[in-house]
Parts: sequence; C-alpha cells; structure tokens
Amino acid sequence: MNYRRELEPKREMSSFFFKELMYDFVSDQLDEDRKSSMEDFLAKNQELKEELGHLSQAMDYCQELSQASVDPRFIEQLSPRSMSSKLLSAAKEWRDWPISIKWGMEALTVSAALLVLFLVVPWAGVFDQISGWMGSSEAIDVVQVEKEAVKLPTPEELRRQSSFGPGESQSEDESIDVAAAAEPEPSTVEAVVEVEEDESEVADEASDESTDVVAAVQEERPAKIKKGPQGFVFYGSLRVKDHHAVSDALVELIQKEGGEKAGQVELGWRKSDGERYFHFQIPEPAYDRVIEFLQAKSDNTIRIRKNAHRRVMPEGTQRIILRLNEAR
Amino acid sequence: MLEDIDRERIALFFYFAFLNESLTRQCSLKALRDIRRAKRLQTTPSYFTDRDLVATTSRVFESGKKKQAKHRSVSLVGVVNFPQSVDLGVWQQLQRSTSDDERLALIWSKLLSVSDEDISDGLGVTVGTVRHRVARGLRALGVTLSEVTAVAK
Repeated sequence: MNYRRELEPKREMSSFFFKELMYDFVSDQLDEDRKSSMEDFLAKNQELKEELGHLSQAMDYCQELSQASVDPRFIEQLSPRSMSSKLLSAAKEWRDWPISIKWGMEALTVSAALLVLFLVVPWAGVFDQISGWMGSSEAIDVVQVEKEAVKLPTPEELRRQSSFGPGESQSEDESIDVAAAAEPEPSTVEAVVEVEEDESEVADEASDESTDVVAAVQEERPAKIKKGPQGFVFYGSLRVKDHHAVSDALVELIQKEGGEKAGQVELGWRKSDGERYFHFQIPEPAYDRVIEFLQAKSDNTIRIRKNAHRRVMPEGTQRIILRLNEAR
Repeated sequence: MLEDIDRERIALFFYFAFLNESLTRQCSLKALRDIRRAKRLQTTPSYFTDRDLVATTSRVFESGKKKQAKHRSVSLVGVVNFPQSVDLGVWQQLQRSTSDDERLALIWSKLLSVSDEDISDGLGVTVGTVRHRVARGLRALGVTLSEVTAVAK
C-alpha cells in the first residue's frame, strides 16, 4: 500500500475541496497527509486564508456565546413544582390561545351578554316609553266585564205592579221592589230578551232540522247548569198531517188550559208555509195534556228536549217552544 | 433524573433557536413535559442523555416553528445573561442567512457542547452530515461576523 502511494503523484487541492475540509482542518480532524496538503494550499491562497480566519472568529464567537447562562428564576419556573402553575399562567395568556377558541369564547361572551340583557331589561316598560316618544298618546284600557244573569220580572209581577194606580199606597218594601222592577223599562227589556231567545232558539232548532221527529216524550240532554238563577225551556217538533188544523186545535187547547204566548209572535205563528210556530207558557199540570193531544194527532213519537235557559219561569209554569210541520 | 443544568440547556437551545422569550418558555415547558412523559413510560429509570436532548429539542422545535409567525415581537430581556463582549446582533443576523439544520447543528455542537455522535443519534443522520452542517453554519457565521465588523469599521 505504501509502495503504491509513493508511486502516485501528489493530488492538487482545489478551492472547493479546501472549503469543505476547512472545519475538519480547524478542529484537527484530518490525518497528517491531508493536513500538510491543506497547509501547502493555504500558503499559496490569500483568500482562503482570510476565510479560515473568519471560521476561527466564528468558533471564538460560539465559544463566547456558550458562556451564556439562563436566569435562575427562569430555571425555577421550569422546575416541576412550578410547572403546573406555569401551565396555568400560559393558558391565561390570551394571545397564545388558538384562534378558534378565542372566537368561541368571544361568541360565548356576546351570547351571555345578550341573554342577560334580554332577561334583565323590562321590555314592556321600554316599549311603552318608546311608544310615548313616538307620540301615540292614546291609551286603550281593556276592562273585562262579567255578565250577571238578570232576573226579569215575570208577567204576573208586572201585572201586579201595573195594578197599582197613581196615588195608591203600598208598604215601603213593596214600593222599593216595584220601583226597582219598573226602572229598566220592562217592555223594552222583554223585547230584547225575546229577540235573543228567538235567534238562539231558531239556531238550535235548525240543527235538528235534518232529524225526523219521533218517539215518546223524553228528556234527551241533561240540562246545563249555570251559576245564578237558572230556568228551563222545552223544545219540541212534530210532523203531522194537516198541520194547520192541528195547530188551530192546539191553540184552542193551550188557551183553554190557561196557557199564553211567551214570545213576540202569536200562538201558532205561520213561520213558513209548511211550519207553525208555538212559543207559549202553560201551567205545569196542563203540560201532560198538551203532549197527549199532540201524540194523538201524530203517528210519530214526539221528541221533547229540556234545555237550560237564563229566563227563569215562575214556579209551576212551563215554557215550551214547539214547531209543527206538515207530514210528507 | 432531570437536573437544573439540563433544564438550562433546553432553555438555551430554544432561546438561540428562536430568539424569543415567550417561545422559549413555551417550548421549554413542552420539551420538559415530553421528557417527563417519556420517562414515566420507561420501565427502568435512566438518565437524561445528550441524545435525548437533541431528539426532544429538535421535535419540539418543529412544533414551535409553526407558532413562530404569531410571536413576531422579539423579547430578549431577562431570560439569558451574556458576557459583556458578546454582540447578539450577529446571531440575529445569522438567523436570516442560514438554514434551520445548520443553525441547530451549530447550537447543539458549539453552544451546548453536544458531541457529533450524540447529535447524529438524536437526529438519525450520519456524523458526516452533522459535521457538514456545523461547518456550513460556522462558515456562514464567519461571513456574518466579517460583515458586521466591516460595517462597524
């Protein structure tokens, strides 16, 4: 091996190769042959000599930098016992948080603020204030009024009241009652009540129009019980042959039994060509006789319905609404 | 297992790598956390070696580099004490003129005195590669030093 090396001519060092080996040369990592060839090359090249000088300066600079020491307080912060507290403080550094968490926290804060605003602010008062500023000075007060059932004077009472002439004396209590009864103008009130009754009654009847009237006398629906004084009315309808003749006979029977019209129209009012309308009141004992009469005139069963009604009839008197239609 | 000198070397590494106090603190804490976790998983107790130092710091440096853009403000006060003669501006200048590989090799090899073999073990590269990176880093530093000296004159 040594023989061959002696025979081989010495290889020339290039500038590039010198620069690559310069660090090894400075740090004394080269073998003697390489080191001597580099020294030879360096002696001929001033530029490389300067570069080698820079390299030595860099190593000196690094030597100085390596003398740097970390502040003991910083080392203390890195020690395990203060690590957890440091992590907490690092977490507190808002600027170091990820942007998504920052935005999430901001959105959460804004939402919470809005929620608090929504719950705390008296919005009704605010709207009132705003409407005041807008100039709408009109205030609408809505009052809930509860209707009370008014007990109207019965015809008997009215008759009794009218029987007292001017100047006729009465006991003090009685005079107060009469004044109270006379005050709401009975005729007017009666008319209004009757119209209302007729409308409601006709409406009630219209719902039964499609059903055939039949069968024995029965009370089908339980009377609706309302608060206060409560009256009743009987609704009935019947199909008979020659309903005009039957109606006339029924009028006679009602008058004979002491009954009278209870509505605006006369007994047996011709509501239409095929229907006669009866709205009357009758003493209670005569009720059964009227029903028996009607039953006798018809092949079908008469159906009577007892409904609750705000109009209270005197004791022992029944109020009946009856429709007689021509049988087909 | 982990001495104060190891913590100091870790802190110095990140300080010279980033020249940023906040990043130095964050990355040092992360590196120390990683080391503790790795030691906990080991069945037999072992000392913290230079190879561990290189492997851990290089891994944490990569994650810290992503945050570097957010930490543009450079704060160099109070963390590291230098000899009076040292001009840190040269090192700041070097950050712009060298690659990360060269600069990190320089830090490990010349500032933290880690052997080339430990660096190569920690990085998983050959010793020749390590020496090559150190040599290039030194040459770049030498050029920077000469430039700064020329400007000063």
